[in-house]
Amino acid sequence: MNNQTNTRSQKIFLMQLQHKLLVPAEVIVEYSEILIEDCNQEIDIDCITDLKHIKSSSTQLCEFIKTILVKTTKKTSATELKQYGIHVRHEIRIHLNHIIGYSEILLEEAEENNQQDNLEILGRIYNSSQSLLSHMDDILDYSTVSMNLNDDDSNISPDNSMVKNLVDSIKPLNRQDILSEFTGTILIVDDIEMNRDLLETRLQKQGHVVITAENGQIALDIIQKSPLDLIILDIMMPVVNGFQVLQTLKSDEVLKTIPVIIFSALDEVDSIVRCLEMGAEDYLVKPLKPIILKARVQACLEKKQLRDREQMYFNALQKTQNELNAELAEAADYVRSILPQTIKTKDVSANWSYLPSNQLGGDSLGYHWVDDDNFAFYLLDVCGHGVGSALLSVSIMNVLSNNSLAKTDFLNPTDVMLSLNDTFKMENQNGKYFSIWYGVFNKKTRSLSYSCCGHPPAILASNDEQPIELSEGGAAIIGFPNQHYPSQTIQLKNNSSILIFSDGIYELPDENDNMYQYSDFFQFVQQCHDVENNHIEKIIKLMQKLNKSEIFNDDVSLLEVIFH
Amino acid sequence: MSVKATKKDDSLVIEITGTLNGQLQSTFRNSYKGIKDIKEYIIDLRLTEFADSAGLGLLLALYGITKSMPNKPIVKIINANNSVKDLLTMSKFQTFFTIE
Repeated sequence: MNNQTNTRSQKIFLMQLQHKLLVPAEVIVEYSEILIEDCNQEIDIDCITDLKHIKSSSTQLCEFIKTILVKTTKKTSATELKQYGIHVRHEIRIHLNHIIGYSEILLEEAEENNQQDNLEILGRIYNSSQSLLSHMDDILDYSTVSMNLNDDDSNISPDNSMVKNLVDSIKPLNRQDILSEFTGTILIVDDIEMNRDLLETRLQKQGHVVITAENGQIALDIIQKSPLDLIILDIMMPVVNGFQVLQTLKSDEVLKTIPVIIFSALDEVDSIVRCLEMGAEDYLVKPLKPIILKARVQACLEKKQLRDREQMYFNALQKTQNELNAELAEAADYVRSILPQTIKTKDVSANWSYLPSNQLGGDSLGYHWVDDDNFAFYLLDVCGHGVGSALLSVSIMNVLSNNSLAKTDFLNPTDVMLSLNDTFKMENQNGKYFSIWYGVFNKKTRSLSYSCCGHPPAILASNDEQPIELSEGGAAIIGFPNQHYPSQTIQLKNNSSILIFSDGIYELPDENDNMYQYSDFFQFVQQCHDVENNHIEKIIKLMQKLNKSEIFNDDVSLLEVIFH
Repeated sequence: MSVKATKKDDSLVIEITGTLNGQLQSTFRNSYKGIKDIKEYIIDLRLTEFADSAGLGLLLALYGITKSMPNKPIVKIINANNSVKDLLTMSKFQTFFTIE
């Protein structure tokens, strides 16, 4: 072990020793102050006098202990150390004897007067001083100050072991240890030319690009024009002072990311706290050791580089997210583009709305004349979100709108469902299945055949009757064999209408954070019923209001067919 | 959101806490994967607040697996709240599951 390590070991050992002595001494001061306050309220003069003696002795003890470290390190020889150790023990004992003596007297009095609260605190004072006294010889064994930390570990006391750990883990600082790993462009703002020149020379030698400004106004001009990695800012300057520069900087969304080290001769706490609160990275008081300045500059530049890198990753992520959103929007536009035009004929009118969620869901809808008399209309919802659901949805819609399911009677909803179930097997569609409402209207007979498979029932409304749910059908289309998809045929009156929709329109949280149910939506639809005008638009506006947003979490599609 | 599976004799009780949605896909599948000799799968939705169609798809996937098993175990859904029960009924899932 070299001399430098030995000196450090001694210093750390002495700091630890000083701490051990200081803690109980300060505790005694604090407790005596508490008791003095209490006695002042009760005007117990004798007691106050004794307590003041304790406070005075413990305060002096603290002051003395604080000098041990400095004085011990000045003793170089073993003899000097030994003599100083004896002196320290003597001094501490004098103060402790006072404290113990007075606390014994006060304890007796408190016992006689049955002052329980005082007894407890005095007991703590007494115990602290006794404990300090009994351990003093151990902690003040100055032979350990020159201990050899190369000793076999098994012989090292726990205290010495801690010192050894500290010495080992905190390596002594050499000038070359603080490498200028991080370099950058640094602005020095100081009105004193000598300060600026000195700092500039030091920082340039460390590899930084340095710009200087002699007051806050010039600094602000430079900050606006030049990209900077760090600003070292003086506080007391003419024209615009350092506080004002910091304030301007930190209130600017872009510039506030530049780290600022305040380097000032002003060491009052208010200034330091204000600057740190305003967003300064550090506050250094002049004069400062160059090696510390270098370490702080390095720390700031490292943080700045990490922040810059983080920002770069965030920007890249944002870019990817924007691209993805654009693609999802394009996919949604595509789905919308292949949906049929709204129609208004003497037999039927059809109107729809398709509002894809941010993630793009699996809704689609369609209608077409299967032949001259039969009008098929349908709305389906593939489970889940995203492009996968949308692709499957578009595939299903294509086979329906082109009547391209093999050996299928498109006038028979049950047949269509069975055929869809054979074609789109969940196990082949990445676990995706779908619900669908499919209906066929015959304009001559005015009959409607439909099947509602795992889907919210459509709502049939006519002017003179209560709306009804059209729910007959089977489960969702999942592709398992032997499924049953019943259908129902009903007669439609003139000017009746059917509304089909996906569950995204009503699966919203209500004011109690419960989800609205189909039955709630059924009521809302009744409130909005208006065959003559745009019924769908009214429903969507109402649901957007309940949703507190125009964008729904899931795809929302509504199709209304009016049978004239 | 969490999934907890407990084997009791020849039953496997799968408890779902929170929301039953597509995000639980792998967690839910892992809860029953590799557990053999089950005659009854019980999906306990006592702590399930909400389910969506993708969540129900996970139950369907389990149903699909049981259909291919030689002993044809049953899948039972219990303790669903009203909102989840309505969704199961509307999706006509009583076709596949015993819902209690």
